[in-house]
Amino acid sequence: MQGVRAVGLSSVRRVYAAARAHVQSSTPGGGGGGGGGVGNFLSSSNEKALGGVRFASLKAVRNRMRSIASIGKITKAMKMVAAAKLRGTQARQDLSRPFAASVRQFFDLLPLEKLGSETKAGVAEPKRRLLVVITSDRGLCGSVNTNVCRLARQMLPHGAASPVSDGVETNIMVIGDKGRDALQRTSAAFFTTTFRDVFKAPVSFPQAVIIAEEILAQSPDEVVIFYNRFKSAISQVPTQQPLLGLQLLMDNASVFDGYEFDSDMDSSQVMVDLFEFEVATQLYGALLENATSEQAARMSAMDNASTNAAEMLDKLTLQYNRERQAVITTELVEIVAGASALQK
Amino acid sequence: MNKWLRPALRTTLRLWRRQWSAEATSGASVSTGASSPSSEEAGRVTLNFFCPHQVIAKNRQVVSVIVPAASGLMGILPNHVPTVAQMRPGVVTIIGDGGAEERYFVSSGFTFVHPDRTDICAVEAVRVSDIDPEEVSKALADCEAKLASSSSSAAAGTAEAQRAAVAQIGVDVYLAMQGVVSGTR
Repeated sequence: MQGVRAVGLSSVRRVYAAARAHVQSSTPGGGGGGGGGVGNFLSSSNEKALGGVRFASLKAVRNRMRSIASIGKITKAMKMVAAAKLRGTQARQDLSRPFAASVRQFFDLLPLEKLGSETKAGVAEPKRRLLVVITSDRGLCGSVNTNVCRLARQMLPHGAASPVSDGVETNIMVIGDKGRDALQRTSAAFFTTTFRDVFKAPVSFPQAVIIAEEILAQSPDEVVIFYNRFKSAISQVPTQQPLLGLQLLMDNASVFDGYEFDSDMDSSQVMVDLFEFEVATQLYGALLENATSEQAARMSAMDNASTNAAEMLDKLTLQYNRERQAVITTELVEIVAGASALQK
Repeated sequence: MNKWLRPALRTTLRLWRRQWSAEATSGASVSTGASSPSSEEAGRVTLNFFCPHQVIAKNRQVVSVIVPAASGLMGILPNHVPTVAQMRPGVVTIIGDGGAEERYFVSSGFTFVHPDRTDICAVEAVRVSDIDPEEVSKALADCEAKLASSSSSAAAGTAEAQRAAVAQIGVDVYLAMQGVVSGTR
């Protein structure tokens, strides 16, 4: 869209300048009743070329108008589609938010700030941190993907080329083509897994479970999920949500002593299952948030694009008409001047 | 069927065992500081029942709930001890005013009994009346066949073992479902 617009504007300006040149050089002569100006204009050596340019530029404007009108139609259609999809995902998200929130609330008993001081001594081996970056597969949705990738990049160790630095191993798992393309350039060394076509069908819990299994297979000490939180149709907030790894959870299991763990196996197994459930649940919530944000961002981006296209079309239409009139005026002047020359 | 009678018998026991005495409850609510005694004092359970794609109940006041915990059916009355319970395939029964029952089949999930509310987070939940018995027995036969075919070649690699595990889960879920459906009709 950007490139298209830049080209369009410059050609408009050229056409406009050419049209002004015609009008200015022809009208005084015509009004004066066959003065030297008209004679000069007609006899100038590049008359033929000017006439050619005159018609070609009119045609160029017409072509641009047509292409802008069709781009405008496409963006408008995309906006409609995004709006329809947004309604669907938003309804689904409204139903799923309490589910993720109620699981989250239980784990909020273990505040993250408190954790740093208590567990540092306990963790001797390199800490494994997994960044899960959720982006969309398709573009034309504003800056949601850029924002999330920027946030994720800030978590990477500065200037490090390998995943392990200062005893902390950082890995990236990317969901969505756009994030993969954006992060591959700078941080391909950190990649472990990438997913695509996640948002092709509506986000479902089984899908989240598959991704969660992949996360758990890497047994990280900390999982950070990056996604766009859907605040409203015009505001999406890039968010990072840290989840504790199983080991840290087990080390701090005393926080949950207020609760009785019901199981026919030992209670540590319940903790493991609960942790896996939590990862899948939070991932599901984040996927839905991001899917909703994507559609909302696409809707507003396409709305802007449609408005811009309409604006450009208006300007070009004005331009086209003005030039058409200039051409007619010039032709009239030529006829009048020719007739008066014959009368002499 | 025998499989089904056992947990049911245990329920009644658990219902009594799980009930806290009055002094214990007041202690719990002080320590967590998050309880809303108004709803609990009225002799009601504040119930939230969520699925990933559905909200079945939110802040609903009910008389009691019975959930299929891993170790047997668990009845939850007001002032239940805070608990985290893993669920197995079975029926969640919500008992409202005047003993009106609502029965949902859940595949798995967790139940969190907080001092001030009860959250049931199920992976999948359907009304028992919406289950088609014929489909259940068909799917059960299907899973049993899969389990039989994969366990005959049990020594084969992990992929085969995983398939067997998936079939086993299917058998468990559908057996439970069948037990529920045939029990109600």
